[in-house]
Amino acid sequence: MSIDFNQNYFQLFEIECSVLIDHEVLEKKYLSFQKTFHPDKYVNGSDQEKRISLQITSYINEAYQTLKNDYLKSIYLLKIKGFEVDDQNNTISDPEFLMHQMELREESEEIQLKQDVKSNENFISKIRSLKEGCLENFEKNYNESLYDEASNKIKEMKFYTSIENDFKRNL
Amino acid sequence: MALLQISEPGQSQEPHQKKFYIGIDLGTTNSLVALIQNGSTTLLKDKNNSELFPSIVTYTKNSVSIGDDYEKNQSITFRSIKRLIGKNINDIDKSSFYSPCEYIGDDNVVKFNVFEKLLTPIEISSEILKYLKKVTEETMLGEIEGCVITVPAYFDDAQRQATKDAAILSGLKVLRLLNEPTAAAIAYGLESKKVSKVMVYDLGGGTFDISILDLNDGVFKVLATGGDSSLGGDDFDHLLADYIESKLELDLDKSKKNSLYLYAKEIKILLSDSELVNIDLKNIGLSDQVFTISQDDFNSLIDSLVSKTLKISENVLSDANLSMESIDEIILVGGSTRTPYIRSMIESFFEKPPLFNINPDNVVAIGASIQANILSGNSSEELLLLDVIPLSLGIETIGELVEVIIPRNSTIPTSSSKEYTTFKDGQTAMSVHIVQGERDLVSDCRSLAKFIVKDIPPMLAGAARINIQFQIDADGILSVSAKETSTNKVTTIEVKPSYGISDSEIEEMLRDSFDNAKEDIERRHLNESIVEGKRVILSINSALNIDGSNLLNKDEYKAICNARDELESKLNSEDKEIIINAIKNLENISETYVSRRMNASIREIMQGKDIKEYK
Repeated sequence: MSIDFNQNYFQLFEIECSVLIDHEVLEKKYLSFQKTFHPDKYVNGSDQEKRISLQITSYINEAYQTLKNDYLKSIYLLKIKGFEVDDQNNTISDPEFLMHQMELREESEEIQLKQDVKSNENFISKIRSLKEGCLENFEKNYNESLYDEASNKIKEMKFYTSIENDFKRNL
Repeated sequence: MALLQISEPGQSQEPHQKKFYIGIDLGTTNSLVALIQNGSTTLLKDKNNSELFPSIVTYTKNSVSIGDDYEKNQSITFRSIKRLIGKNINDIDKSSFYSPCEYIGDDNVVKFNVFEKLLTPIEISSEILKYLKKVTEETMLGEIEGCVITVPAYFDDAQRQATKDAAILSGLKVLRLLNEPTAAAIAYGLESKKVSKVMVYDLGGGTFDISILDLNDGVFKVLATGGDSSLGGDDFDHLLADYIESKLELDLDKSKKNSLYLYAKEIKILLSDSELVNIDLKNIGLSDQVFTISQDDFNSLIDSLVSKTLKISENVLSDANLSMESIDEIILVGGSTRTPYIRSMIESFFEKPPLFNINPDNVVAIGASIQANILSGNSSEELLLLDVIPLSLGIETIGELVEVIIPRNSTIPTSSSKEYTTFKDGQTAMSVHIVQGERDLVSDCRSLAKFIVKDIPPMLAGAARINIQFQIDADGILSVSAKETSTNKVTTIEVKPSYGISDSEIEEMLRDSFDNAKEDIERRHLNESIVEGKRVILSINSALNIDGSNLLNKDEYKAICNARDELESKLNSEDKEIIINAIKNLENISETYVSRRMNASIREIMQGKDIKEYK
């Protein structure tokens, strides 16, 4: 029972290292890994087997969750290129985007006051399409090796995710 | 004597030799045990032929008993102890909490003063598990090899750890802690469907759980889970008791209020089947007044709590990024889902009739036994469960803010590591505070543990690199390790759990329970000798049936039968030594027979088979 922990997540799942990935392949490979390595398969095994199975499945879960999530995957892609995104320091300096941020926050508060199901749904799908646009721009920048620009797109993605979560939480 | 049991190749040993794997639903109100025998599920029954073992623990000065026929005089009785397990004294809702005795909250863990002995909810729960273990082993004439215990999906790390500790104290080996909604989903056997999305709505006595699962090619993956660990049918009882109290303008003390509350529970159950129920407090000696309550009255009492469960369900759906329409099945679990109002509210909310054809009281235990059977390796079923952590794990950072390390609904097992550094020259220790919850402020989350990382090599501020690894295992339980990466020195960690009990305390309790359990051990030895005696008799009988008259002359045959009958008559002697001697006597007398059987069976195997098969 072993896997190579030195592979990157894409190599682990045998999928191409890119922004858009084949989720069906990812899912299939993930399930077959789990069926082989999950601790449930080693309940009566030795302590060593249990420990290794725990390490391997933890790693597989981490990898899978990273590739499933556009935001985490984007950060990871830049990391492979040697470009660390500062996850904590997410200040965006672009004044235009700052304006846009403020407008969206105001809009979300106004819609929340209305307490109308249809407007809520519309707002959420608006945020989602903005997030998708963001990912497309990230892909463009990433493919052109413009990592600073790509990193800004990641910060924007984070903003859209947090506004969506806040909005849903306060419904 | 082992040689007597010659089995055909490919056939198993005598069934009573088997070790058992069981599923335990350790419930707030009732607990259940289920196990798989010959491919079908059996629920263990108590002496009243009921599958529900009331989770009621009664202490007298010198004894502990489990169940509802408890000693009423000079005794202390605990109900719904599950509500307190792994909890801090400050988490307990004092308004609905009735303690049967004095309690203290030293070091944050609740401790009850039970006849001058301080007991935690963990020890009290372990008595329930001990009892279930004893009843199972006596009924099945065997030993429990391992068990799966279910917990509410919403249980946090402290509550899971506490449940596991209770099992350790009871002497059970836990193969896995399984989330209750997941167990229910397994029990429904939905794996025959290739792909589907399942929602499990689980409303028990004390907890509400909701889980969304995705079933795909033999893998059951939990997508999201949520709930409220202190919302359940007990709350309906309290609401109903309060309603009766105010309607009749009663002014009750705590103990009378508790009687009214137990009466309200009965009324609630009656209201599931009848439109109208008469309330007559003469039965419990509280009042002469009588009135009638209707289902509608009751429904409006519980309406806000039911709406709360639906709101939580909606949030969990949104966590799973799913819409209501994408759910293929809704499964109802927990006794409280018998309430007709809840069923109709769910159906109209989700526009889908829910499934409840498996008894909602039994379904979790049944699922646990299926999982125990799969884990034991006895099952040919290819079913794998992938569960998630219900609440985010984080650490305290500057300004009492929480930094999330592992977000909720991450599939387990999982791990995460963070790097920290020192902020003073020569700093050799560092404190890490771990919390669980979804809020931004440390004070709004549950404090799980404080760690002190020690033995950091003294360096300039910012030079040390402390890598802290957080590992969550398949039971959802956290462990932490730390390493100084620039020198690769492994640092030590001192754990101070904010809840529950430390490993050393568990050891102490185990020793305690061994000291106090001498009598238990003797009883156990006696039971074991009886089981062994029965086993020997069974195998000698089956051997005699097969070839006794061929291999033995009349006198030999008679001698063995006499020794066997002698043993049989000693089984009720209540004396371990006498039984063991009778077993030995039978074994000695059968020795020649055993060796003749051996030879005969070898001859039989060799005959008619090509010698090549033995290469």
